[in-house]
Amino acid sequence: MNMDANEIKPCVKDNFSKSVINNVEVVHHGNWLDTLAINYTDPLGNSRQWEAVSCTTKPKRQDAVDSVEVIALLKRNLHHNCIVLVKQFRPPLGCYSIELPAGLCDESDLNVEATALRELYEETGYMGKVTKMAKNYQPTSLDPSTQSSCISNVHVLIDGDDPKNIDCAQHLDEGEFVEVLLVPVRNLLHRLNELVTGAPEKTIVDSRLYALATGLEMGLTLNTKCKPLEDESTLQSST
Amino acid sequence: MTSYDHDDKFHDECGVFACIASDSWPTELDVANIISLGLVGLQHRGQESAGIVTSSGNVGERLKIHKGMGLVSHAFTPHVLSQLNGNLGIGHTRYSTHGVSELSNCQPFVVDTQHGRIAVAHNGELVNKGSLRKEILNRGVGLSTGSDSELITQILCHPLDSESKNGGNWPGRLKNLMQQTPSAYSLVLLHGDTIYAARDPYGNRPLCIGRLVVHSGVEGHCSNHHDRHEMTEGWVVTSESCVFQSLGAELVREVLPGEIVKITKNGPMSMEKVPRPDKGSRYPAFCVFEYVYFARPDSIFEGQMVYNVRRRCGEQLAKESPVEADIISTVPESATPAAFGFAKEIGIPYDEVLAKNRYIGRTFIQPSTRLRKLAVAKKFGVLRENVQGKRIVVVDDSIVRGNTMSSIIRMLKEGGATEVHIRIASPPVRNPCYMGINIPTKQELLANRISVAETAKYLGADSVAYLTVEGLLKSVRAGIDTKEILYDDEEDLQRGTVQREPVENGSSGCQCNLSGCSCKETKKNQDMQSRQRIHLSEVGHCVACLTGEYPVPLDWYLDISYTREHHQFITESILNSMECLPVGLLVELDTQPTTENLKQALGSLASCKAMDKMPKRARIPSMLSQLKTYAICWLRHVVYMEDGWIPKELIYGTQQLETQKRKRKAVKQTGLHCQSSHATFICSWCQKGCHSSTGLVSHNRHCSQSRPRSGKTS
Repeated sequence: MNMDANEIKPCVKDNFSKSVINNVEVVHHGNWLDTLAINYTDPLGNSRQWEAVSCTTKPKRQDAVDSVEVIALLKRNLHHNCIVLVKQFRPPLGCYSIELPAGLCDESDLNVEATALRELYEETGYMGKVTKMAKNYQPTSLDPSTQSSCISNVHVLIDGDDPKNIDCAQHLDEGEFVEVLLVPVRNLLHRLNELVTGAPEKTIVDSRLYALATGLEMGLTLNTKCKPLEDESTLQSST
Repeated sequence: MTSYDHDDKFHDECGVFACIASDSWPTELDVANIISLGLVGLQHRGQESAGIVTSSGNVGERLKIHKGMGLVSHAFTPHVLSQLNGNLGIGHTRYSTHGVSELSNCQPFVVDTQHGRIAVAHNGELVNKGSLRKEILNRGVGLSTGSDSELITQILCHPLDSESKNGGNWPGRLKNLMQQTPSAYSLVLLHGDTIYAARDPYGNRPLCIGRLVVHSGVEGHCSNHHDRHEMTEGWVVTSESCVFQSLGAELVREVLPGEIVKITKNGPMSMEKVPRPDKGSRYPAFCVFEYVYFARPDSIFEGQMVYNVRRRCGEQLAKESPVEADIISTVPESATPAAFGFAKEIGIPYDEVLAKNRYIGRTFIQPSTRLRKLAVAKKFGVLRENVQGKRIVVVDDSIVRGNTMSSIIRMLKEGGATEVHIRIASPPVRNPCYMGINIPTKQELLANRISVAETAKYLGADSVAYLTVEGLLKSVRAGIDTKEILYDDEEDLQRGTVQREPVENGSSGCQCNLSGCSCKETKKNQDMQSRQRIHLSEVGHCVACLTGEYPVPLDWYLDISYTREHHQFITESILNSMECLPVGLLVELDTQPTTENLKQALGSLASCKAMDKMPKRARIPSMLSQLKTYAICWLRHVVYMEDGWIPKELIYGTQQLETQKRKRKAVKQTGLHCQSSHATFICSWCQKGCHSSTGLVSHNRHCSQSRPRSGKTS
């Protein structure tokens, strides 16, 4: 069957234009969060409004992110490598949440790495060292549909044989109640599921942590060719 | 035929290791890695192969098994270890025994039983394996290998009458095993979530228990035993305590002879202590060669460090056979403590004369004498400047064949030494070991071929002296603290502590077990740390390879030796103590057998009380006049012949059985393996000697004085 050349429609619209933010209105100003009403123009030229929240504490530096998340591996002699997780009650969910240690960036922190180590120390008591993994600290979005907050992931290695990391105490602020969980990396997804089903109170796993765990499993089963770990010698254990 | 080893020493056969984690399961402890590290620490006990079995602890789940040939680091890569994850496990290193090394022969053995899977690893050889094997086969069980491990697992699989269907009584089964075979084994058994450790009633092979502790770099130390228990991360069982340091473990205590210990995640518990059988030595028989050579110097046995025992042997040797010389030296590296002791006692300085190339490993070559001598030269080099113009005493811990030593002496003399004196820190070895040490054939042992007086000339040295047996035992026992046992087994094993006597000056000493503890009594307690008080009745060492007196009743084969030097028959005591009726007799002679010396050998036997026990057809005195044909072999599996004809069960080898072809023929004719190669045959009628079995058969056919063969026995 012959097709007329004029009848073939292009896949991409020629007149595709970018969305543009017109103005941002602070609807409510809170201690930690501002509720915003964002007026923007959609690709077809229509004005629309989007409701969002943003952190009040974001540092004014150019490349700053709101907060930092720490992927910390505890390495001990003759033990499996464990990832350090925290569990705390989250009022917005109304239940307990298992997450990676994370915290807001402070003005006093020089950079993202300093925030990561500080938060780790405060929440778990461990003193770690930042590794070279994923060191660009690219801002990643926390929840693009509701907030403007961005987060950076920092990879940290904790030497569990160092005396200061044995039996260490947390340094929490008043009003913070955080439980530290050490979960062997080799079986992370399975253990997370167990922690949810086996907990006496309702518990939910953070989505980023769950994605990390799933990614580790997929890496094994899909047998994808992994980039060699940069700091392989320090991460080496049996797993 | 034992493969030629690059060093002139005996070789032990195995090391065992077990580990169980005591935190909540699934454990954070990397059990597979710990076991492989433990096996690396035991690598000196075996390099041929290694195997690890781990379990999650659930009886229903499969056990994870991996075995590999070669060194532990070669067989167990990080990838393999990551697959072996578990909460408890056992491991084993093996030295080459005779024959082809096969993966299926590697331990640990895993079998299915009616109560789930078990894994067994052991060190040692069963003295009565012949009769045990027959018994098992008679029960209707098929055996697929010739190994002891299979016998052990088969006995363990046998249900006890007292058991219910619901659970296996493993301590009971172990007790049953220990009652059926008195020696020699140290074994670990894995079942479900439990590890059992057992040591034979004579304690011939070593076994000890350790505790894995968290690093406590924190200031101060635990003030009471409760805290110590809290800090325990796991329990380990091993052949030698030298591995503990590399694991961050500490020695709790040895498994006592005859003891069965059950270890769960809550800790060890002593289940039972099986007494020694009535027939046999009253005392334990810990292999003295563990002290002399096998064990690593930092291991602790009977509360004393092996290094110190070797040093005392050197001192004793100096007292017994002093000599004038310029320097005392050693063959690196195992004889160094003995050389130090010798030098200190005799007052002559110690210095090194040989450099060792530690990269020369085992060779599987069966070389000619020349190649062997060259191989030895590759391993050592002479430090010429130290040697030039000096009178040297070389201290070594043992001599087996003597070829290494003669090469060393030659090298030293070529290097400029004026005199070379050899001092051996152990008595001469003359007899076989049935407990698991791979001693070469009798003819190969230097002490059997050459008398002590002639050895110096044979080796090319200016003088040679051995340590006496009494001297050896004295050095070994000097460090054992023999008082009443102070601790209550069960409770203390559960807590993992040993109570101590209060310090004499009245102040309360530190009670902690922590080595290197920082309290004020540190030094004193560090000494006490390694001391374990042992009851006098529990002190005993096996010196059978030196004296010929075996601590255990041997199986139905027996050998009588007529040694040139001693002119005595050293196995009368054995005959008197024999448990089973001897079915066969093996007569072994150093020299070409003649009517005279055979008569002599048998003559003393005739007067032996044990002869009454022997079945009629085996009674020799009545047949002395019609000399039988004897298979004269250095073997454990030999029977003698009856009057006039060659029964099919006879195993024999021809003298100088060097060619494989002949060996195979002998094997084919008898169906059994010949371990040695030296034998001579005598025709039973004309007493003519012959060198081959086939030759004898053809001779018998037309022997001038033959009688018609009768199928009956007299």
